[in-house]
Amino acid sequence: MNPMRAVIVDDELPARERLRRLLAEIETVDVVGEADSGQRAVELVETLSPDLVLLDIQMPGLNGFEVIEALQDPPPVIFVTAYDEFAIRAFDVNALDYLLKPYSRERLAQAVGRAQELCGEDRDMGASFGPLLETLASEGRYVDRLAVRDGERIRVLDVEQVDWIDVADERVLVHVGDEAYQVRRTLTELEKRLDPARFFRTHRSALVNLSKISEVIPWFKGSHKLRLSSGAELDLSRAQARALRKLLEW
Amino acid sequence: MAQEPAQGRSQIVRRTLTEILLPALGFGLGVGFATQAYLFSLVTGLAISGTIYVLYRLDLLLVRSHLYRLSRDWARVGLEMAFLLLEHLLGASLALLVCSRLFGLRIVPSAAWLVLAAMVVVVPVIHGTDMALRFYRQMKETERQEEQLRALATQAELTALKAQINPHFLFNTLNTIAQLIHTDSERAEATIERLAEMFRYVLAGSERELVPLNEELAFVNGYLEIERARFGDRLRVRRRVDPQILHVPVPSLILQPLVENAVRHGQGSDGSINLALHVEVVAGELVMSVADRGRGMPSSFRLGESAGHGLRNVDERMRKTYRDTRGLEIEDNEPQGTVVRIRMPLGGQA
Repeated sequence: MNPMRAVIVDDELPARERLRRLLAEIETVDVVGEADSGQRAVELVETLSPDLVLLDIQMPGLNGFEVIEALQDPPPVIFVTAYDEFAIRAFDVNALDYLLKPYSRERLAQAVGRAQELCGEDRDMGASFGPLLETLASEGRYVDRLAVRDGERIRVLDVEQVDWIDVADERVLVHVGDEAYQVRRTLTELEKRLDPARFFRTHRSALVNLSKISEVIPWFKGSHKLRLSSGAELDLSRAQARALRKLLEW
Repeated sequence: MAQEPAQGRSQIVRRTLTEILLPALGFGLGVGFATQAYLFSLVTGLAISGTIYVLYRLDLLLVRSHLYRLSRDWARVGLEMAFLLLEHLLGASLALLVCSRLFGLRIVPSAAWLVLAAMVVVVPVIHGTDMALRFYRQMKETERQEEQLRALATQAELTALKAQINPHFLFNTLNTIAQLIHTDSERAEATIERLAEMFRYVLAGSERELVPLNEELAFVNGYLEIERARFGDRLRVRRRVDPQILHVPVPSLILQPLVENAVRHGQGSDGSINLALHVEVVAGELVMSVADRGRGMPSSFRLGESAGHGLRNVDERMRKTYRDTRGLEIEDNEPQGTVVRIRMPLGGQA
């Protein structure tokens, strides 16, 4: 059997070095790449399609969960964290494996062994990460940053910058000023992971950043138009106008 | 304690009823029995009750407030009872004297004395019992509040300790050391030394309120050295410290949480951490500030809502230590990032 091709993601050099050193002792794993930020992790995973990612959670730019969120077809992941009560509870609830720094080599070997079984089963990892991200969101840990496609590159957006998100030709587009970037998520998935105090569903196919709304204009038959500070205009369905009225208390 | 206005009103009604009108009725009936002139007697009763009430309020205003300083509670209650008795005797006699002159009431002496004696004994006993009950409840309430305050203080100490020894920091550092042992044993050794110094300082700091500024700065430097082992050259710190004030007393463990916050949240999108640490005297105040060039605080950030946040702890401690403090100030840095600042009087004391 070929060894598993693994990628290490951690923003701290000594932490990456230690993982590499300990993984070198395990014959069934081959480390094929290292990333020192979440953004580079997304790019690396998409180019290399590794069998396993060892993923640190607290990182600048995209954190570990935002990396998962950004990946279209995530491989099996072993999460690594020093201390994160929230995350650990979420892992336990969703039966996902994680390592606590500083982990022992035995624990690392065990985690790799489990990942190998998963690999053999050829499971759809996206299906198991979805519930994890939803658990986190339900605990108030929403996604703060979004990784979007900018041609070949990955661009990281603060969700605060985003004006609105909609669906056009079955592509989900994130609008920031005059630009629109594609994300490989459904609108419903995004809605579940963005803070509902910040993003609002205007109708079936759009989410708007509440802080970007500058005007609510009455339109026909109870429907409304939203004008954003960027000048863009969005439709607001009648049912959602009622909900928005409650939210904004106008 | 703030009272609901509705409750306040119902209390006034209750008071007027129990302390003026009901006694007035009793007094009036008593006097009526003694004089056989019931209409005038009711007015007299009201006068008696009113006079006693006025005396009582005057006493509350002028004498009782001093009584509260008495340390022995039961001595206080005894004195209060004596005062009450005196007020009733004085008030009843005074009002009775004036009214009997005014209305020309002829008092049957034997009955009058009986009634007067009854009033003067019975009414203070009722009042006194009520007061003693209220006093007892109040004492229990004070005890409960003190208990609560003690619990809060212990909680605050624990939270402070936990915030200082941030578990995330500790475990990450241990992981770093586990690697450095293999690649850079001298650095591993130095990191262990710094970590031990940090723990000693935190343990000592929970007992010492104020420390000389240079000790606090040495602690922050030890912390930054450890973070440097983790982040390498990505971490850059510019320091500007006024050498004149190195011995000024400052609250212990007040600066490091600001620096740690900047290290954790002040990373630029490329992962670099650029900090500026300033300690100087501005307009007669000692000002400490930590600036970063990260992505800035989210607009939704509220100091009070961030549970377990080291910054909130600093804010609370500043407010507890200094009376006229603005607490923790958070501003946007130019062109990007956050500045966190605290100011304190140069003497170190409130």
